[in-house]
Amino acid sequence: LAIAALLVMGALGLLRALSEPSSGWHFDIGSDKQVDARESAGSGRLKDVSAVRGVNCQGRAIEAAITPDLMRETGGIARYYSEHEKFYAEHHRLWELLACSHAAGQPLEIQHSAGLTSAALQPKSLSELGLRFWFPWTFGLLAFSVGLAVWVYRPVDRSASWYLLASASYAFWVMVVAAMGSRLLTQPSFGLQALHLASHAAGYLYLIGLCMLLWRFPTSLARPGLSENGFMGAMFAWAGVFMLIDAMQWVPTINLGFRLPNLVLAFVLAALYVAQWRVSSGDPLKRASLKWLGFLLMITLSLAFFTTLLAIANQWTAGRMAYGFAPMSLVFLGFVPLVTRLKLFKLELWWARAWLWFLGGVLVIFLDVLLVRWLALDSGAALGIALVLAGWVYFPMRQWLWQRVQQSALPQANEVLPDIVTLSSQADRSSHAQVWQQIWDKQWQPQSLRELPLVELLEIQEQGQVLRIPALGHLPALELGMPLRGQRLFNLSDVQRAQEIHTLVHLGLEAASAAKKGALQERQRIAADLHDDLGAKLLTIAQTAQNPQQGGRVAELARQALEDMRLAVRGLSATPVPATDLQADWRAELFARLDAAGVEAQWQANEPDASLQLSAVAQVQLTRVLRETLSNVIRHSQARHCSIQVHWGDASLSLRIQDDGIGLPQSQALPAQRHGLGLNNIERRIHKLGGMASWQSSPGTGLSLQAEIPIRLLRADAGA
Amino acid sequence: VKTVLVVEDLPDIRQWLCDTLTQAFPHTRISSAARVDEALYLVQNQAFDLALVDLGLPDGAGVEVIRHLRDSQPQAISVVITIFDDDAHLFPALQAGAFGYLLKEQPQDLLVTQLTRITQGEPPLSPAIARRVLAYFAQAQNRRAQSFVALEHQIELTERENEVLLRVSKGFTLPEIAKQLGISRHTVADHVKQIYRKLGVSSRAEAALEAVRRGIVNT
Repeated sequence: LAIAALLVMGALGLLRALSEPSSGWHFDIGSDKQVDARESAGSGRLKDVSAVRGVNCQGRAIEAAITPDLMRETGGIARYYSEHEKFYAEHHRLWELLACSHAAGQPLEIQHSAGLTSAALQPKSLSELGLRFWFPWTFGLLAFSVGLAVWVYRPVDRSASWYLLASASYAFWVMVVAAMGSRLLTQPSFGLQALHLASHAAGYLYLIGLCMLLWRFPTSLARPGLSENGFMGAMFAWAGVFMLIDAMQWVPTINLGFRLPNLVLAFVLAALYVAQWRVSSGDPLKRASLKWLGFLLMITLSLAFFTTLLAIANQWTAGRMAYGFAPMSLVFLGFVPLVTRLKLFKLELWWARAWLWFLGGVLVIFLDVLLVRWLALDSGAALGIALVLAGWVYFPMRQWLWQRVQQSALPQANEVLPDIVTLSSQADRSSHAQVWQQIWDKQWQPQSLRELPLVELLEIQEQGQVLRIPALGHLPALELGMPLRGQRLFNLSDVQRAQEIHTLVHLGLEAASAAKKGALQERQRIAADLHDDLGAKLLTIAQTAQNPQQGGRVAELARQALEDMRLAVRGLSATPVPATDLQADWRAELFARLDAAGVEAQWQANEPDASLQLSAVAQVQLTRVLRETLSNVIRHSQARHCSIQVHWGDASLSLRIQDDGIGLPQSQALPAQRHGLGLNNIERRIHKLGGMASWQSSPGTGLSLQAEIPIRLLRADAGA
Repeated sequence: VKTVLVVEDLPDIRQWLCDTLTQAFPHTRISSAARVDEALYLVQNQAFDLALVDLGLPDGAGVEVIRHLRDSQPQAISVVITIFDDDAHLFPALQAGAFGYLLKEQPQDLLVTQLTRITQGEPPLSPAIARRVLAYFAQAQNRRAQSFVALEHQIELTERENEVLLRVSKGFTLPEIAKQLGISRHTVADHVKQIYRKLGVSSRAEAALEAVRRGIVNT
């Protein structure tokens, strides 16, 4: 049924437009305000057409004058009913001439400035309709199809019925305008005035349909003493009375008979919109629908208003009004997303900006018309001045409006930064959940905030009514109800900001846990150092100090303990050290100590890779190995020479320290007995670094230590 | 060495230092202080040839005493006594004018040897300190190149001094360096002394430069 209705509507418009016989010439107002005729299939042009001649149905030759007034788009543009009557009477006469000549097979003779041109009359072809017809025709049918679709989608909803009425009226109205506006010369006189009246009726029905829609949508405004039927009755009564006045021409001007009552209906529509807006306070979903609808209405009604105004002001001729009215179908086309509720919340992002942009355009047109009409400027100058005025008046205003819109904006994301820092720096987790909620509460002031067991994606749900935040480690997943205590819906920019905050918190927590882990490792390292080295030495001091003869040994142990502490503290600063620097330190220390002890040192080393950085642990442990080995040489070996070889290979560091002293007594080759020399300690340190150590000793040839340590385990970036 | 100032807060260590000093320089007069304010009072009222200064004092940093001594008694030799020998601890003191450092835990006889060496003009210089000094002068040159103010007497290391520093930073001993450069050990020690002196003077000049820079900004 709906498709049939659509086809009928399209066919009617087409048939009406094609009912005119074609002379092959299209009559229009030329640039000199005179009537010109253009060849529809060619580039011929007849200037200053003054009359056409043909025969009437009795076969008598008749003539009809052609005036610019006749070329107006419709009779409805006229101000007085008398003009309007004259327009239709003249077209009636023209039609008689055209139709009878066509029936009699007589040509149409066109009187113009260069003489008389004779043109054969044929049925009008589709190609002669032009964009002036197809453009409004297409939009009219599109709008009608949306109305029908909504109605099919929700047949029981009375809003849908009213909506259908509005779209059907609009389609009919546009069909009339399209057919009339695309005429080559005239239209069949049959029903010409009836169609005109019908188009006026359609104008009323369009507004009544929209008013009734706004009465019901999104909230019914019916209340005791003001029923829907009562309201509808009043609307129809108003339209009926003025249709009668319009038809009977009881008032002198069309302004009073049609335009003013229509404008009143437009104001009713606006009032209804305001009423809906107030009723929907606190319901962002309805508000969003209203914003969208209001935006569409604003565009379409303003377009209709200004098109009419411009048409009257500039005495537009055929076709242009149709262009102006066609975009009015937006109110129907734009209803599609509203009906299907597809991603409605996207609207929030741009509706204000789009609206302001549109207002700017409207202002330019308004000023242009104002200047042309009342200051009688020529249209070029008027447009220029209008643009300048709009620039000065409108843009500051737009700025102001935009700031008003922005004022209701939520705090910037960086305002929650202190809370994020608190989350990542506070070790005590008990308050974390509270701070976590506080972050979201501060950012959106949601109507509700509750924990959810599981949220997988950070996204908007339920048409923008809630925003779901996934859990982060020990912080629970959350669901935020509408922002600003329920004043609006969540939109895509909210999601973006939420994502940013979520990521920030995530990074903060990660950094905190990494720092905690690092600190723990460092503490463990220091504890191990103190326990293994310092603790052992202090214990030995405590035991040894009881024996007064061991004073020298105690002092020696205490000094070693201090050295241990120094190294542990140096390890605390934990900065990586270039291998070249460490090697230089070793060299200087070895020479200084051996020299002081009267042992001749032989140093042999290759340069390590300049970019090699050693970790603090490696640096401390390697230094200890060298020191302790050297201490043994100085104290126990009675050596006179000591050679130190350091070789930095591709994969490993090898150390070789050899003296020419007394070597190990045979019995001390056993591990348990080497303890006194601290050889076990040295071995343990090398093992700790991941290396291998071996001792070689024979009486008379001295003691040598050979150690191999993989360089990758010594590197600063070896993954602490 | 006739008069010595000892600034050390631990009484036992202070006593031990005094004993060591008496061993190193018999017939010397020793004044001791446990706090920065006491030390500053002494510096104001007495002339010293040598000062042993602990860095961590109860009412402030020993560096203050060293700086004060350098400004009011340039002929006095300040020596840091510490248990931490790393460059991060020592460098600020050296910049303030300290002429070497001693580790507190060393046996007394070793300390005596080192003290004698310092007073004879041969302060110890570790590779780590040498690296810091090299970096410092390189930076100072950079800063000067970028500044608007030209100093009348720019403090720069001579090529020889640079050479010595570089070798110390690589771990070579002073006798080795003397041999490598074909100069006497005494000359190398002189270079080291100059390096210490220039470090102190340059730091003071840097401070003055900074003050001038701020003055320009302020006025």
